[in-house]
Amino acid sequence: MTKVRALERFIRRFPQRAGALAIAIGAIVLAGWLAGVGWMTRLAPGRPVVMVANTAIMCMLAGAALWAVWREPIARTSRRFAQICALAVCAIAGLTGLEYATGIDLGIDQLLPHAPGPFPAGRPAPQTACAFLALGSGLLLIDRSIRGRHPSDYLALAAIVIAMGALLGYMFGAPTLYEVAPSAGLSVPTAVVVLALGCGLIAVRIERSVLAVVLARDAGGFAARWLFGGLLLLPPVALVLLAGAHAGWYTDSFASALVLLLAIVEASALILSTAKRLGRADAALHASEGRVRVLLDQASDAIFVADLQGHYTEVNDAACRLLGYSRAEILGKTILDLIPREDVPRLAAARERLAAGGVEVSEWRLRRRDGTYLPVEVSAKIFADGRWQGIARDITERMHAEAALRRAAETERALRAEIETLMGAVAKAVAELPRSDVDAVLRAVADQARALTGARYAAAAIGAEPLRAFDRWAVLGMPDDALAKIGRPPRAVGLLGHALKTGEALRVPDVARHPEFQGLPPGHPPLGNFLAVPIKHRGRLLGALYLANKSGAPEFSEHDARVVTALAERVAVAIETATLHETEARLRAWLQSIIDQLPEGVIVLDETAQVKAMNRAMRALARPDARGPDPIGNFEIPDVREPDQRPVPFEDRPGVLALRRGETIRDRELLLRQADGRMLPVAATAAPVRDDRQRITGATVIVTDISERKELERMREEWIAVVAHDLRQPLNTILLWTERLASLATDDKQRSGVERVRSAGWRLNRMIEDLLDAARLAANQLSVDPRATDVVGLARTAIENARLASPSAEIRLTAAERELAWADGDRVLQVLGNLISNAVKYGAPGAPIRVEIAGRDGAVELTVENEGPELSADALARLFARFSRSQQARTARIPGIGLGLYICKGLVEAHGGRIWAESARGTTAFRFTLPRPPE
Amino acid sequence: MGTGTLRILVADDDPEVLSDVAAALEDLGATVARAASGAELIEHLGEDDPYDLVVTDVAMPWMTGLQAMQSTRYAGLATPVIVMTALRDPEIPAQVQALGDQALLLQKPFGLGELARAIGKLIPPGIEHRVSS
Repeated sequence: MTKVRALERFIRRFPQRAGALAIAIGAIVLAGWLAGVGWMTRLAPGRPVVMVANTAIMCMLAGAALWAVWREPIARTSRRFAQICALAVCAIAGLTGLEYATGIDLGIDQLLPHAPGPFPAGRPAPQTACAFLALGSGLLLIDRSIRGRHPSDYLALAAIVIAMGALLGYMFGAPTLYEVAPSAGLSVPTAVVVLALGCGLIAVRIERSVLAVVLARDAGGFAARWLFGGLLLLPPVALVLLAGAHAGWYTDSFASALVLLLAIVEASALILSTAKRLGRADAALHASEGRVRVLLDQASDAIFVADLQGHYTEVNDAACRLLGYSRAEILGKTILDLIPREDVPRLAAARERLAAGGVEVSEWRLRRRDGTYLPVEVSAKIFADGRWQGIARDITERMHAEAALRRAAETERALRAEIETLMGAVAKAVAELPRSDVDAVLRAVADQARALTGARYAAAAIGAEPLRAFDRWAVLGMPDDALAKIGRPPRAVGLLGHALKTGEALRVPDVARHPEFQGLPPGHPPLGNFLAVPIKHRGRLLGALYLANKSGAPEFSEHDARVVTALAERVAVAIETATLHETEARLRAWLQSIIDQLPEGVIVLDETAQVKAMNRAMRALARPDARGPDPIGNFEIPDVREPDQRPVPFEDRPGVLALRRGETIRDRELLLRQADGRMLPVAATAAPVRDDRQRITGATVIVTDISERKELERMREEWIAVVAHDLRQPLNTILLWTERLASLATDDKQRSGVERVRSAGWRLNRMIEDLLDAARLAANQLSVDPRATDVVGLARTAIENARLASPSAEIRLTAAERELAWADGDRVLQVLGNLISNAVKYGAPGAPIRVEIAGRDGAVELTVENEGPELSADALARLFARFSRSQQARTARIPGIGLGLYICKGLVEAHGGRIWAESARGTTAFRFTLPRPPE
Repeated sequence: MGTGTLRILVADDDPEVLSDVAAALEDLGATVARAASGAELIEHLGEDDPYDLVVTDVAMPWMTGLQAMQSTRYAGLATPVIVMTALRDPEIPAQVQALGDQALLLQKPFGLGELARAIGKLIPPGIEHRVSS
């Protein structure tokens, strides 16, 4: 094999080398002509025939063309170049031929330097012209084929024959093979070039050329190589023998005879050895066929091989067994004999398809010896030589199985269709019932089950708890008096409990003999056969269907059980839905009755802010908004206004806020516009409703009529104002008169008395103001009017006022020049005054009181600190409560009603600040913060 | 403080307060005329010689002190005014301010000192002297 490969490699490279050789020889010869060097034009020493310049050009052109196309793929430019070169070769050779044929000298031969001579000077020999015409045409047509054959091969062979002839002529001294005139003809270098180019042209497309036969790895290839090798041996041997004759050792005739003898001997040897090798190959083939035969016969599938005409040429044992024929009987038949007449067109169609190649698997019927047809599956194929091969397998059982399956499927389909029809009726019946009427659904289901099975009694139950009676129990077929006697529904125990315990259907021919039978309640008609089927929804047992006393049959059939099971499967959803609806409806009714009982108005919203429920009180509070529905289409929403009567935008309504922000809105004061245009003050509280996964699913809004409260508040305000006014008037008289009296007093005793009245009057005034503030605080009406205020200036004023009241007090201020806070100056002054007067009252006498103001954490912190007895933790905790008076204040009989710090706290908090007290190491400090003015 | 020849008109519907305030002003040396209602206040202002100062209560029958003073302002009378009140209506300070620079709010109860300081703010000593001369 390696030899074949080396040969192949050599052949593949040969065209390139042949091309190179042709170019080289052509170039040397042309150079010889141009330079006038004689030996270069003939190259072969001792041979008179020269290669003319035109031939040299043709050599170079043809060599270049072969070089350009020797290796595939060929670039477009290379192919074009080769075609131009080949065309030029054809043109020169053709014109030369034309000159010979017509005898006209076209003058193309003398274009280049040439030797003078009798033969038309410079003209290539006719053989040369023929050979190059063949080569040029072959190169032009290199990849063309005509009916699968390649003309270039034959043209190349023609050129080779011409060249071989010339070479043999030179070898054996036969000038007629190369000369046309003395010293004119096909030169040795031309013959070599033509031979090389011819062989190259054949080798260039090795796969499809005649060389493919030589290179084949089969017996044919071997024989070809063997015979060619032998043939190549012949000319050199003949040459040697002829050389002996020339030398005069023996005559030419003897030499010819010897050559002939040698040829016969060699041919015989070659033939014999080839025959032997072919014989061995044949024997191996037979052995292999024998093995195939055994394999065929052992194959379980039937194998048929038929010739082109459809005659069976080969069948195996399985095929014989399959059809009941002997091998001989089958081999006498054709394919058409074995298939039914109606399949003949199919066979023709299959043949068409198989001719294109591939394997087809299809089902056929083959006639057995007994005339019956056997269903088979055939895997068929057509070989390249036109023979058929079919591998057949008996598919009778499969057909039977398929038929059985089909029948089963049809039965199933029919059953299903029957059930579906019934189900349709059930679904319709169920759909027509009120959605929440579980009993009606159960009765409809029991009725269907009864109709399906022909049972006398049917019952449908919901509930699977054995300790409790069924939640729902619907019985059909039972006389009313029997039902009345039986009384309450049964429990899921005994036979009734079996299906619910196991989740499986139960068929009993006679209940009385069943081990789980626990007897019947008094008044119950006797039961015979029995069928129980559980009703399941998503794997959960909802209840069961019970049927008893099937008429016209000893017991319920398997089919009955299947049908009722199918019914139970389908009605489970309806029952579940009805149960849920009923539960929901009951819950809803219950909720509605509760919220209707509530004195407050209630609105329930879903997650989209749609009104889902509204109670009677709410409807009584307000009519729907006359301006139409809100943005999401609620018609029932009342006309809601802010306390200043501006309409509340949809997204700012308490319920919507609760939904969107998920927070509870408490007691927001709003107005509801009444039908007559009056505004009803209400307090609305809204809270989001969350599911068990904390998702907001809705909101509730509770609306309370606060018109009475508002009226009371108004009255209290009025009362407070009136009382305060009326109290201040006499106080004014007291204060004015005491001061006048003071100027009229004649002695110190009188003056001191008048002064005590005056200070008592001022104290009374302070108390009145405090009581009013406390009342406002309690009613959440203590308001402040904050603006950017310098609290250091306020502190100075407060300290000045305190010094006026208590000239002996030492009060020190520690603060920057100026600290701005967002504060109501009068109110801060009130707080500071209160804290400083406390410090004076409760501080150690003579000890200084420190007032500090400092910015801290984006706020201003004010501190009033005194030295003196510490406050207990208990006292600190109660300090800011209403009417809180310290033990110290009570024992020291320090005047006051315990509202001062309560009001301070209210005022500070109304500013958005914080107030607290610290007491440690003999120092008590009251601190409060005020916000900075907004930027 | 001597306001010897100051002519002051006092208005209050409460006779006690009216007499107390009038007496206090007389103690301070002023000549005092009295009005028991808003209507009387306007009557006095319209018919009497010009007053140097009006001291008026707010809450009075027929016409409040503020309304009365407002109408005198419309009439072009810029007499300084002290508005005294025992009410704590949050709107009153603004209404007093609306009467112009020559108006002060004095919350009841007040002492003699506060009354004198308020007068001092509205009647500068220079005018006092001119009046007394």
